[in-house]
Amino acid sequence: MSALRAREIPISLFAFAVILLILGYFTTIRPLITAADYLKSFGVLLALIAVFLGVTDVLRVHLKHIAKRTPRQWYLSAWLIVSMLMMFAFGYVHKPTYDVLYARLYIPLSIGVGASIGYYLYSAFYRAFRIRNAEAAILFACAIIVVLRNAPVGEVIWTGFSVMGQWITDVPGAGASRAILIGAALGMVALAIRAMLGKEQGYLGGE
Amino acid sequence: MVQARHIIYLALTVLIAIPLISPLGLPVTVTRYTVDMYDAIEALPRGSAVGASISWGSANWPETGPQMTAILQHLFRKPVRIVLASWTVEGPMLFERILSNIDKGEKKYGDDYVLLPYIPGIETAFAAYAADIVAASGGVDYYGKRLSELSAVKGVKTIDDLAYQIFTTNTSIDGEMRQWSRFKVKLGVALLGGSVPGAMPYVVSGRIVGMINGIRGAAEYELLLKKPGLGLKSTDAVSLTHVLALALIVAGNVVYFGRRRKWIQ
Amino acid sequence: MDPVTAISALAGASLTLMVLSLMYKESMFYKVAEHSFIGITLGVTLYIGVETLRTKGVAPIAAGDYIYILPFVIGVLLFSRLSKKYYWVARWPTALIAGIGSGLAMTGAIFAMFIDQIVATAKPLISADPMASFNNIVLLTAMLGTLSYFFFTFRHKGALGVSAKIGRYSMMIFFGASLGASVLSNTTFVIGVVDALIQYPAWYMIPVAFAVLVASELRERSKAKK
Repeated sequence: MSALRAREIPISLFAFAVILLILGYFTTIRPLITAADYLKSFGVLLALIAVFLGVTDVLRVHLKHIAKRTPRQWYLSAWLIVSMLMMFAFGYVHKPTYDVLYARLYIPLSIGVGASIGYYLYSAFYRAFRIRNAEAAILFACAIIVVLRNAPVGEVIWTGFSVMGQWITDVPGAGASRAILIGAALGMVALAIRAMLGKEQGYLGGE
Repeated sequence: MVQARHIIYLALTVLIAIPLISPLGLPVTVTRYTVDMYDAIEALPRGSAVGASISWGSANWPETGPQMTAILQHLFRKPVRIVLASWTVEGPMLFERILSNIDKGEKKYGDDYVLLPYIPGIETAFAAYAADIVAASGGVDYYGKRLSELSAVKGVKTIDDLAYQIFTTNTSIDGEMRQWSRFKVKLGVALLGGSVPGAMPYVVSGRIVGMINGIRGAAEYELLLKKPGLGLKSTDAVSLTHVLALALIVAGNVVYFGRRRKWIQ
Repeated sequence: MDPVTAISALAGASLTLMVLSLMYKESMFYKVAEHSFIGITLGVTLYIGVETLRTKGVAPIAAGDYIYILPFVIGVLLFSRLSKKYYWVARWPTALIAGIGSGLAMTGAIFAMFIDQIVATAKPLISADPMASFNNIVLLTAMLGTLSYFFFTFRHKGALGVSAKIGRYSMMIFFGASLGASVLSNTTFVIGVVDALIQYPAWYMIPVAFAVLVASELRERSKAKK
């Protein structure tokens, strides 16, 4: 049993998956390409099963709250589980009700949660965005030009904002972004090689 | 207790509500990348298959909803077959919502367009879709019908069998580009405004033909289609709130430096 | 408007306003809305997940493609992380998922994020169009400067120092553009919510929400005084 617990097994599985996909990509050996294609479709199913694991994890946390009667929380957790079961049940029992609940409750709630971020950004403009040095000045100057490029009123004030804003994103911004992409690509390859050699084990979790 | 941030929130809400109720009518010019997507759809050969995909959830509906609505409205005006794919759980339901809001003309489900089921895995899903669209969907559409019985996907196996693949996303487009750029298919993208600068390397290189920039891009597309929607409705609110954003940055810095240099108590 | 649509619209507006009450302060209204949101999300995810599993997993196996039993078996092992004794078994499917993701990302990144980007940058620095030449020079300078900024093997002195400084400024331009662009995205969230709330019959809930907020604030203040 202790041999099965060895980290070498998952590391080998990781390396096997990476190497098979690389071989399937760069070679024209039919069995390897077929095996790589199967691995990709397995990945889709595994990702789907991982979704259920996520749901289970959330349920576990909230069921614990209910069992322990955590003050000021347990009834909220109970309501969470009731609304989950209600939504799931309606999907099978009466689909039109499920559709109405999705369109009239879920979408407004989602948009409301997203709007909180928008509101916080505007208070951050006043409280947090400070132009303390030359680099910050460049950052905010470009931000202001792009803001006025995106807002139709910017073109009413001066048509140059549209041209300048587009140039900033198309030329120097694209240059810097391109370099970041190249660095990220090299980093991805380096990280995969380190993971295959067992030097990166973060994805396996702690002991 | 009422604080400065509450006043900011109230000002933001009022500056959005006023132009939504009573539009100011500020002109909107159409930018180059929006025209590129419009022209790419206009140039689609008769009978070709086009892919459109959703990689966002209902939280992004105010921005990406109008984008996809405008794109699909345009596609439904053209003599093409449309394959609708979803990379998020809500994707098919969001497509249904969009389809219920557009004029589908004479297009029939199954013959002219098909809604694929949710394909999980994000980048794994992109790779599976590119390699074999039918297999990635499990061989069935969202409603459980066998794809082999639907003429909308006849002759469509890999992503290269599509004349144009348009994808909308709420994050960076690196995943899609990693999996799709090696194919020959023409790619078009509709993005959240905040993701546009990160996508520019792909757009400027020409690998992406046509890009819609946030709600502003949706408004531009609605202008080209001559079908106003939430995009155009929002542009005045965008103008006023963006001016508010600049005013807050200036005011915040004036107050901060004024207090430091003791001009302001 | 039929009663079901009206009631559901009012319910949706109420929940939206309960979420937005966080802008004033965190309260029980916000917590109820937050938990409703998570519960409904889980319900939708579970429903779509089960349906997708049926079409993608069960149906191919029922049709005779028995090789798809393998990902099922491997995927079920993921749930072993819930066990205190056998949590380590979950590392196997996790490693496989990570390997598939890594392999796909790596193979794609080499072309899309590396080779294609370098090829796209290789444009003539001196051409007939002066604006195109200027743009190509600026783009190449920004790119090389940013790349040199991340070269930490040597100290940023001399030529490397100048190049890294150019890279820093180029990145500030990029981050500034991203910040400016993000204002559009975040504003659109708020536009969406305000647009939903000013529709009929949702806007009836706005004065109700204000009244409830004021009443709750007065109640808290009187409690605090006692």
